Amino acid sequence: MKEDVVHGLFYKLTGTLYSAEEFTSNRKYFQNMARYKYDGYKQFSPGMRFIERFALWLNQFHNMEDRKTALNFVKNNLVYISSPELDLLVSSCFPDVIKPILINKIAYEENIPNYRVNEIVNSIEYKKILRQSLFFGLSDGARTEIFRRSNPATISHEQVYQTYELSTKRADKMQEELRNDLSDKLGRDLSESESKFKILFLLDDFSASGTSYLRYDESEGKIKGKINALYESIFNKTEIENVFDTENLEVHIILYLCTEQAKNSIESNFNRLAEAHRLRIKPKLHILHLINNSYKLTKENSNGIIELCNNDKYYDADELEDKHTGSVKFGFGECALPVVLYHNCPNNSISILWAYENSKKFGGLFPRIPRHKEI
Amino acid sequence: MMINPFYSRASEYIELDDKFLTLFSPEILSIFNQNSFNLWKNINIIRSSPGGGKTTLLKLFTPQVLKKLRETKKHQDHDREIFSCLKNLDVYDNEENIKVIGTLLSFNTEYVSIEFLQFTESQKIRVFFSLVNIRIILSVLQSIYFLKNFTTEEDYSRIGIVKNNDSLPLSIRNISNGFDLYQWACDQEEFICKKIDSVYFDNQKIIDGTDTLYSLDLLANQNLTIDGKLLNERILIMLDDVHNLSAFQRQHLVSTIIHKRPPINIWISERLKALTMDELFSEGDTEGRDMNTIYIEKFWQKKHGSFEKFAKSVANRRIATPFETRDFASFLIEEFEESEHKRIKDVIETIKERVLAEYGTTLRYQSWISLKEMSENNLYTQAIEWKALEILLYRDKNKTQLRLAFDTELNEVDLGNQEGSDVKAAAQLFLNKEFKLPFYYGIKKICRLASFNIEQFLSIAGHFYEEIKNNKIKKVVTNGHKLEITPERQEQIVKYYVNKIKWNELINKVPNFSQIRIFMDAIGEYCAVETYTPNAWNSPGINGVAILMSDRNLLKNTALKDKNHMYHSLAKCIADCISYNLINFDLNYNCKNKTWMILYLNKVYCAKYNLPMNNGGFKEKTLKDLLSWFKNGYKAKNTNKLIL
Repeated sequence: MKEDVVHGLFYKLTGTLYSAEEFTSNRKYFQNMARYKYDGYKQFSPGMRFIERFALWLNQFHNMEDRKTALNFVKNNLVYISSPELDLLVSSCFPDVIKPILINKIAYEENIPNYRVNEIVNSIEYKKILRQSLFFGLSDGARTEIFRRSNPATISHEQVYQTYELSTKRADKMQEELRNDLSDKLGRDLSESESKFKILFLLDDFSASGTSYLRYDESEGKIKGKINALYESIFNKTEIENVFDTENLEVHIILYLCTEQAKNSIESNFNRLAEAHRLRIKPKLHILHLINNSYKLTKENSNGIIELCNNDKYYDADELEDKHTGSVKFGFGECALPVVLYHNCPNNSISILWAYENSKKFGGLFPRIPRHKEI
Repeated sequence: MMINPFYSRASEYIELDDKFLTLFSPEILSIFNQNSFNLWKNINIIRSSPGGGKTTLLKLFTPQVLKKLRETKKHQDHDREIFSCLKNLDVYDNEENIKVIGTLLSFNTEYVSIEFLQFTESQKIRVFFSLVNIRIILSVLQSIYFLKNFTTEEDYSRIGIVKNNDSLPLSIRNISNGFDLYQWACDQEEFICKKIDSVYFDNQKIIDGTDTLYSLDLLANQNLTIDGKLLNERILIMLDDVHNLSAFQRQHLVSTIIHKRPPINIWISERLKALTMDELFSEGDTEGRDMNTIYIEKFWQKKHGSFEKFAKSVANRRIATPFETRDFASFLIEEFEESEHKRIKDVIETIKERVLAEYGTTLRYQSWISLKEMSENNLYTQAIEWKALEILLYRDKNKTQLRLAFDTELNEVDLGNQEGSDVKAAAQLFLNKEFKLPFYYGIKKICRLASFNIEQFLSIAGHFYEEIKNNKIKKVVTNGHKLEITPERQEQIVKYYVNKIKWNELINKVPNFSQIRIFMDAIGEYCAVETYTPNAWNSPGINGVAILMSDRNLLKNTALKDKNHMYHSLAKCIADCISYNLINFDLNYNCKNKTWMILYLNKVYCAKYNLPMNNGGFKEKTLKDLLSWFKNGYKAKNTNKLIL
C-alpha cells in the first residue's frame, strides 16, 4: 500500500479522536517506532508493514472509544522486544551472568577473593571449569548461534548445543573433544573426574508462565517440563551419566527474558525436582531481564484494554482456543502480558495482540504463528 | 517515510558534501561583507546562541567542501552562487584554485576532564595546550592531505618545514618534513592521552607540556613548502565549540591567541553561554586592531530584510526535497478564506456599532467615519481600519477634551497623518486579542519569530512542515483538501510551539528556570498591559523594558561580583536570560536625553504574551522595579489600562 494511502487510512480511523497536534504526535510516534522496531516483526505477511497492519487492526474495533483505547494501549503500554535488543541480551549473557558464576565458583574453591578477577580468569582452574561447562539451548529461541559468535575464543563450538535432547553419540563426541582440549591445555592426561562435564548452562529466550520449563502435574503426581526431561536424560541413561559428573553437576537455567510469575513458578518446583532425581545440588535460575508483575495488565492499570479483551466481538474463541489452552482472552495462563517478541508474539500476551491473522472475527496487531496447529 | 527535512542540520552533512552544499544558503556569507571588515588579516570570533549557524558556516571552508563545490558549481546554479560569494571573499582565485587550507577543530567536553587531574593550574594549562597544539598540527596536515590530493601517509613527506625556532618543543626542532611531524604528533597525542587515562598517573613523571601555541608559528604558510615550493594557500584554523572548554581553558586559549597575533588565520566560534557574566552584559566586547567579533543574531538584527531572505532560502532548500517545485512561503496562506468572511463581517459590525455609539454624533469625526464606511478594501483590511479608527478616535477625544476643540472637523489628510502602519499593526493585535482573528501568520512574521536565529526558524518551520504533511494525508481521504495552512491554523501552530514545545524545553535546559520564568512572565505581562491600552499610546506596542546604562554598569561592575549585593540575583538572572537567548539587548540607546540598555523578549516569546515583534517598543524601568518582578512577579497596578 502506498505510504500516503496508509497514513490516510490511519487519519480516517483516528483523526477525529485527537487534536491536530495529538494526531501529528501520534503519526510521528508510530512512524518512528515502525522504522526502529515494529516493521521488523517477522510474522507480518509479505509486503505488510506495521502502520498498515495497525490501521487494519484499529479498523476492527466497533466504535471510536474502543479504537482510542486500543491506540493509547499500543502507544503507552506495549512492550516490544526487537531483534537488536534480544541480540544484546544474548551477547551479554556470558559476561554478565556466566562469567561471574564461574569466577565465584573458582574464588570459593581456590579461596581467592572474587574481586581479583584477572587472577581468577587467568588461572588454570578457571580455564578448566570453563571447558568443563556445556551450553544447551532449550528452544530455537535460545539463539545459540548468536551466543557462540558473541564469545569467540572463549567457548569452543563443541561446548554449545542447540537442543537439550542429547543423544549418546553426541554426548560421547563432546566428551572426546573435552578430553583432547583439556589435556592439551594441561599438558597431561586427565583423571576420570576431570574428563566429565561439571556445569550445565541451559539457555532460552523467554518464559511467561514457566509451565513448559517445570511444572507439577497434580493428577499424575509427577514433575514435568523441559528441565525435568533433561534431568531424566542425564540421570537415567547410564551411557550419558558417564559424561557428566552427576554427583556434583551444577545446572544453571538462564532466561534472557522472564516474567516474575514464571520465575516464581519455576523456582517453586526446584525442591520437587531435587527430590525426584535425588539431587545434591539444586538448579539455579538466572534472568537477564525480569519483567516484573507491574507489567501484567489489570483493570486498574490498563486504561480499558482489559475490558476490550473481555469483549467477545474482539475474541475468536474457535480459532484461538484448543484443548491445551482453555480461554486465552488474556493470554495463555492468564498472564495478561503486553509483550511482543520480534519473531513471534507470545500467546501469554493479551489475545488482541496476537490473534491469528486468519481469525474471522478479529486478527491481532502482531499476529502469531500457531504452535500447535490442527492439520 | 521521509524524516522532517527541517529538523536535520546542514552541519550534520559534512560527510556528504553535496548534501551539505544543497542545504547551505549563501546569504550567511554576507556577515563577512561588512564595512571595514578584513576577513584575512584578523582573528575572527564568531558568537551566537545555539543554532545561529556557526558550525555550518565554518564547515564551508574545509577542503572537502571547497573541492566539491568547485566541481558541482558547473551544473548547479545554487552552488555557483556560493562559489561566486567565496570567490569574492578570496577563497578561490581566478583560475579557480582554492586559496585557503581550512581546518575545523571542534572542541568537545572531554578537554574539561584535564581540569580534574591532580595538577597545579599551570600544569593543567600546559597539558591542555600540548593537546591543542598536536590537534592543530594533525588537522592542518590532514587538510593539506585532502587539498593536495595525497594518497598515502608517505605523501606527508612532500611537506617541508622551512625553519624551526626556539619556541618549539625540543623533540621537534629537528623535524624538517610533514611525515616526521605527523608521526611525532600521533605518538605525542597517544602518549599524553595514555598518561591522562592512566589510573596510576604519576605526578612526578609529568607530561612534557607547553604554555605556548607554537603550532601557530610552525604552520604559517611561509614556513611550509610542498615539493620544495612555498605554500601559496592561506592556513585557516577554525576552532569550533570553544564554549565546551572550561572557563579557565577558554580564557587562556582565547587570550593567548589574541596576544600572540599569529601569522595564520584563526577563527573562533562559540556560544554566548561561554561568555562570563561580565562579558554578557558588554556583548563580550573585545574588539581590537587585529580581531573582529561577529554576533550572528546582532548582524541579522540590523538587516532584517536580509535575514528574511536567508530564512526563506533555507526553508526553500528544505522543502525542495519533498515538494520540488514549491516555495515554503507558498504553503502559508496570508488571505482569509471565504468561510471566515462572515466572522470578519461580524467583527466589523461590532466595532462599527461601538464607534458610532461613542463618536457618531460628534461633528469633528464625521468625515473619518464616512471614509471608513466607504472603504472597498478586503474584509480583514476593513476590520483593521475600523479598529485603527477606534484607537485614533479614542486618542483624539481625550486630547480634544483637554483642548476643548470639539467643533473642528477632521479631514482625510489628518486621518492619513495619524493612521500609520504602527496604528494598523496595533489594531491587528487588538483584533487578535478581542476577536481571536489571527496575528502570527505569514512568512514575514514567521521569520520575525525566529529572533534572527536560524535554528529557531527551522524549529518553527518544522512544525509547519508536519502540518503540510498532515494536509497531504487528509487530501488522500478528502479529495480537494488543501495542502496550504490557513492563517488561523498557522497561529495555532505558533502558539502550540511556543507554549508547549519551546517553553517545556526551557524547563529542562535553563538552570533555575522556575525563577527566570517569573521574571520572563513579569516582563511579558507588563508589556501586554502597556500594549493593550485603549489609545495604544505606544503603537504597535512594546516587547521590552529598558534600564539606564548607569544601572547596567552597576549590575555589571558591582552586583555581579558581589554575591551579597541586593541586585546580584537579578543581574545573574538577566545574564542567564541573555545567555540562553530568552532576551536580546541593545546598549547605549539614546532616549529622553539619557542612555539606556534595552532588554527585548526573544521574538518567539512575544507570541506567548501576545506582543508585537517589532524592535523599538519598550518602557523604562528602574532596577527596583525589576527586582520586585524577579522576586514576586508583575502585578498590574492600574487595571483601567486594560481594554479587554
